[in-house]
Amino acid sequence: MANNAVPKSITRIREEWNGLPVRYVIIVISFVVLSLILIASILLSNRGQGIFLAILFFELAFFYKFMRSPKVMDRSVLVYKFLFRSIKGETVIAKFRLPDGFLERIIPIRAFHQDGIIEFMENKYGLLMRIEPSRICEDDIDTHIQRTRSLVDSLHGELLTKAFVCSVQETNSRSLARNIVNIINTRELTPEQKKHLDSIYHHALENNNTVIQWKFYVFLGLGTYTTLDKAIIAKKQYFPGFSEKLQKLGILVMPLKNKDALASAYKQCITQGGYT
Amino acid sequence: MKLLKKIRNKIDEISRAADNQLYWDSLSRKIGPTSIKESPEYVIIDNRLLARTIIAGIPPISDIGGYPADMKPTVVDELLVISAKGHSIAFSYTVIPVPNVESMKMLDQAIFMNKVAQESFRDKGQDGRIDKTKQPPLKYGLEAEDFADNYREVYKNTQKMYHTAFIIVIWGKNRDALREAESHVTVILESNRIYMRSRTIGTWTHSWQLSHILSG
Repeated sequence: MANNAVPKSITRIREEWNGLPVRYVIIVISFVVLSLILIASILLSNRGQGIFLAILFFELAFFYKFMRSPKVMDRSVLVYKFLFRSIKGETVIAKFRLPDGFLERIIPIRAFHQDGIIEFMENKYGLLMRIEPSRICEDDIDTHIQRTRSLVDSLHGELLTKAFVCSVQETNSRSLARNIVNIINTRELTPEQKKHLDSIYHHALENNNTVIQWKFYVFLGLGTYTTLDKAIIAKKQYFPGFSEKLQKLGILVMPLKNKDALASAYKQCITQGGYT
Repeated sequence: MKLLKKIRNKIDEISRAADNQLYWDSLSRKIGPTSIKESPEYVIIDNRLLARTIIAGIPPISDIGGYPADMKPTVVDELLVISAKGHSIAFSYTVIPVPNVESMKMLDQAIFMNKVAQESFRDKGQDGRIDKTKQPPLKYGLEAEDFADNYREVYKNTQKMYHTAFIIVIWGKNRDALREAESHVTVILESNRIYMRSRTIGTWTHSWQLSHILSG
């Protein structure tokens, strides 16, 4: 297979008004104003109405073909940008030797929605949580297994679950030093205690040995839904019970709701973010 | 005609470029690495990191199970003890419930196929009597017992059936790191009598297995 190196583009930031890009709103208003002028011209002028009618028809057809939604508008703008570059002789059209849909096949995520709902290809939806499992002693292992079995048995309908555990290499200094700084900043300590923590902090910073940390994630697949609203209802219907069952296992559940946190977690699943 | 073709090609090219641009601005692009190159042995990420996947629970032949019947619950603990120095490891375990009605149908079909397989070994003589010297392999008998036990559990609603997938991902900066990590994993899986595959199997490429972990 060819080398699929593709330069990363700078993320586009655009202003929005009521969920619509401002640029799109301006274009829609312009089209509405133009249409009103044309309609007024048809109604008020004595002759040449046919021409105005034809212009109105072409204007509406143009709007439908190229501007009917922000997504279509984005594509049209890009097409014409490439067209002008091509006409000007700047035929540096971005060429990727990557087969169509290759990355899409590996990362079949369409969108991250509100409250951490993840939309996948084929209208599938799910939720991702970071978890911190508790340590179980030998005596409690049978009870724990029974409870875990009960959690798995609680899956029904289209629900599915995935557990993902990922090793991350950290130097001792990072986690230990972070905790010490946290303690120093949040608790009232005597000068002796501070001095003691300070010596541990410096010792941790000098220690360059790596330690293995494990990051635990649980994914709950909600199933296939035609709209996001239905997926939101499904989340309300299934997630609280599942989360409670997890917590009864002594697991700390931290649902990932933020888009950046979700992107970061998925990135780690592929590229081992902590490692590279 | 030539000019028309040229224009059409140009439009196609431009249109494709615009679609590509939109795609690279998309979410997959943001999450995905800069490059992914697939080889039969591993996936090369960003031209500097190798990722290899192992599917656990796949037997070398279909006659035997991928997991032992008495699998220890501490297998995952053993895997988590691996000191991943120079490499990184991730484990993904998927559980998809099978509705009991469907489970019973699947077991019914399996029991029927098992009976057909057993009967095919019992050749009948010219007189219509069964030749008792020709017996089906014992595995069919053991299989039939297991199917009956499972059917009973599902029927009495004391157990549920699931589709499962246990995929292990190993990352390393070079082949040696990958080999070292794989040897740790292999030893633990083999010692627990869990069969596994760590190579491309048909369409199950390493990138496909990665996508299985990420998909919903």
